[in-house]
Amino acid sequence: MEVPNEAYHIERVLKGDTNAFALLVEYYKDLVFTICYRITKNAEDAEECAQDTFLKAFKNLESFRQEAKFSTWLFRIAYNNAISKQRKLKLEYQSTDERQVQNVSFDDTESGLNNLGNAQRKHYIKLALAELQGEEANLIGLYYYNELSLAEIQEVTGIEVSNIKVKLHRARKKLSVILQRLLKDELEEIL
Amino acid sequence: MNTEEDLLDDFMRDLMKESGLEKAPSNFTVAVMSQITAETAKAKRIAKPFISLRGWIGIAASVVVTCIAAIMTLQPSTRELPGQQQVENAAKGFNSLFANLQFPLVLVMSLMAIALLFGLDQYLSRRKNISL
Repeated sequence: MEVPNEAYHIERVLKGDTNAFALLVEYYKDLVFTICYRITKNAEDAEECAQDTFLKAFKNLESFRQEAKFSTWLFRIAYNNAISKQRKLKLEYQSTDERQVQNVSFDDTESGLNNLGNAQRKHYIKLALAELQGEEANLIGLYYYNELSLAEIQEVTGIEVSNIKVKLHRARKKLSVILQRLLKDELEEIL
Repeated sequence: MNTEEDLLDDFMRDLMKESGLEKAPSNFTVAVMSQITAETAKAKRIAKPFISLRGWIGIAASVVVTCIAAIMTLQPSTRELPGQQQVENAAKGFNSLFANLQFPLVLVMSLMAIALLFGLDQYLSRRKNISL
């Protein structure tokens, strides 16, 4: 997950070639937008957050240590931006029943999803992710989609590795519970 | 990690890969780059002083050289420069504060000229920044 010749493009930007930054924006825009979206839960706020992330990255590029991964550094800016935006918006999330989280069986969720077409599956997964708390949705995204290591997630979010493990464990189960509920609602609507 | 956890782990990985990324708006890169271009241009305009540091060093050096040359070569003249009397009076008043120190007229005038130029530079720079 890196732009080819990333270091070279960063060097060009640092030497004053502003246009070289466009390549980095183009490559990372969806990744950054997704981090912002999963926390703010709103496309407009996510766009503002993502734009602000790239502006901050551009202004502070000199402080970026080349030995670190540019993506991790960029994701940290995005994450912090989104979290502060979320605090301003004071977002509230639906709470998930603790007993359901403890007793969840993902077999039901998996079989329920397997009965759906691709587009519908994607739709329900996105709906379920939107119901998760921003931090949880992001942890799941960074770990499973972006395939960041726990240490890299710690670098991005500032959360201790042991805490990330606990949060990931809970988020996985919660996502499964939410998916089960959504699929059950869908089934009831059909019947 | 037990088997149940392993399965859940694999299941989540498949789910997340399937859900993909949220798509940023199509004009996103253009919007970011236009903001960056505007910021860069603004920063350049603000950072550029009316008289550069090199210019100031040049002015200061030429003034110092002129002062030294004037002190070493000029003879007392009977011809009065415009405003010389006022400047001399001001210098005398200033000198009375520091009775033991003597300031040559050329030095006082040069310092005043530098102060005036510096003040003008600051004023014009500020006006330029405000008008951006």
